[in-house]
Amino acid sequence: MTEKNETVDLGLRKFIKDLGIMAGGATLLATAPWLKSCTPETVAELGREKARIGMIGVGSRGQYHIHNLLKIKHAQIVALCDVYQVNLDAAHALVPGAKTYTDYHKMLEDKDIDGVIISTPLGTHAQITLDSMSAGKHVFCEKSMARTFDECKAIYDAYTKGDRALYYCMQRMYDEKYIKAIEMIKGGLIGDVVGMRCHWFRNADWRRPVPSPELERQINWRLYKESSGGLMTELATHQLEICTWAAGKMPSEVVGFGDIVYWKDGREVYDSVSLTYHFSDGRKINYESLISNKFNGMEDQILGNRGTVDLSKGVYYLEDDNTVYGMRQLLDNIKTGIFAAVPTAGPSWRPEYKSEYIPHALTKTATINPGQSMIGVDADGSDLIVSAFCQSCITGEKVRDVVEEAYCATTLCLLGNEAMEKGTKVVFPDEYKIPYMKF
Amino acid sequence: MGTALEFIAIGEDEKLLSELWERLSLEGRRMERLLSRFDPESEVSRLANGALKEPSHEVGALISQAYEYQRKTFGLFDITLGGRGLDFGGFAKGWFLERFAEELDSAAIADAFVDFGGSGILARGHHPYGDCWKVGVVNPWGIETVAEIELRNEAMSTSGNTPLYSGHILNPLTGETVEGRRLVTVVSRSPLDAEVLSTALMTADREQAERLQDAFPGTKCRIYDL
Repeated sequence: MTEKNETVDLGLRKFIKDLGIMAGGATLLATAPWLKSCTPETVAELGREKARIGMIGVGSRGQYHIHNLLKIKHAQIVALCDVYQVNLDAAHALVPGAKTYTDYHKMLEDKDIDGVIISTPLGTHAQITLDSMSAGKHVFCEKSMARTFDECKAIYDAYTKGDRALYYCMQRMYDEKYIKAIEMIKGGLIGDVVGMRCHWFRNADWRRPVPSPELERQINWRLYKESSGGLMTELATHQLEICTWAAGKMPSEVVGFGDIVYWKDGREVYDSVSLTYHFSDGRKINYESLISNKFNGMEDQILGNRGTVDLSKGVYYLEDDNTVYGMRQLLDNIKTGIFAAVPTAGPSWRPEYKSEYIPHALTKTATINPGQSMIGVDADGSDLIVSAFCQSCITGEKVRDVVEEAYCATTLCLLGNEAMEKGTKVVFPDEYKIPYMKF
Repeated sequence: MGTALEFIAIGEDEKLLSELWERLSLEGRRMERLLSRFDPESEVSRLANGALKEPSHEVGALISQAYEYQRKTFGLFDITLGGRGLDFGGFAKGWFLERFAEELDSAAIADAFVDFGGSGILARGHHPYGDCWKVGVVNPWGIETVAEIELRNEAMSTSGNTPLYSGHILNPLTGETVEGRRLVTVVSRSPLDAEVLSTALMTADREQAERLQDAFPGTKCRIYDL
């Protein structure tokens, strides 16, 4: 959580410092090369300049970004655009000095805008992104990348040929505990990565109240296939990105089942999905999401032959742990104010009888996201990635790998949806492979 | 002694605590060199293999104290294993915890929890969120906690077999190793008493167990046949 008086700008500097990105932070930059444009030197170069930002889509997520942007010293929100007046009014109240638009095309004509932040329904991402880049704007867009393979490829091609910066809100790439975890995984903490298990469980219908029926598809766009890829593009996208990041390669095929099990309210997207992504070397990602039971919460587990990392919780467990069992627990209890019996006493010091795994913290101060908010949580990297985008708006520098990671994650989600719809195994199509991908 | 030692001390003076840690680490390593049977160069190893004829003053004092315990336990606790060798194992642990307690006192640290390899525990004062320190005794053959024990300025020692480490306790009177699923916990003001008694109770029969507890008034002994 950001302190009241501390800006995100300071947060970014602290973040960089915490992660140890200095001249010698080579391992870290190998893990997360996109942080290169966040080094203390580049932050210092910004001086007093401000990125002039136009917001396209100012619903709940757009307003979440506004709150973060207002704390960023090198950002200034100059324009707001939304087709829904209620949202536009709410955003305007937050940024009274900004111009307002109901047509983004008009807003893109404004030469005083350096970059745009797109928080619109998924089905509109591609067109708005392409139009914005054509208009010479740097672009930050919400995940997922786009609704179809063709749209993703069109954006990717336009981006690689052009000179505009493009970001997708893959906030885990800027979340300290995830970066640290991947760095440690690549450093051999858990041995060989042998598999991945991710799930995201909630118990909520995903619906928003609709003031009049004709607004249903606009407001509840997540529930309809035309505008949404459902659980895959809204939730799985973040988690699949982590898996390919950790594995260093892409799965080549997928099978899965998707169904509407509980929320039979006219929606078109699944409320229950279960998939297996298969890598060419035999490793698998098992993915599950259900929104009528939240018992299992959200977990991103990378499994190694010597240990397991649960990135969402910021902890790792070792298969053969030499830690004296109870003392760690006692220390954790004291830190969290718990008075409980510590199962420490036993006849031998060797923890061979240990039946439970000991959680080890990945970072000293990780914020854990329980994964239940539909809008976003504090300190999950969203503020930092927006700050990095504003920096790119000033320097014109394209960030490394963020678009590529978003492309990989989104296409895997779309592939999963295709497998569930067809009810068969689907192989990653050659025509949508990009050089970044390793299979 | 071939084991791990960890402790938590509650205090605001970080410097004092780290000095204490330094001192005790040094002392631990010194004890190891004197008493470890895993180290062929330790004084105890050299005494055992005849390379050294006379013990140092310190080890000599320790041996006399151990003889005193042997008498008090009518031979059930015996560092010479009935003349079959020399093993300071648990005794060294208890002795070190006694030293540890003295150091905590002299540093005026009221609240601390010391874990010597799980089998030797020293509790001073109380947990920051409780009025004592609570430990769970884990069944080595299962996953359940067989007892929760509250410690208030007391030491606790646990002896027993485990699935992977059985038959390491020898009855000095019969020369037989202890088999079976016995687990013993002893809580006492004195870490050394707790250590000696938990070892002796592993080999004791019912009548001997009662006599032992009478010989060490104020101790709380529990025997679990799991």
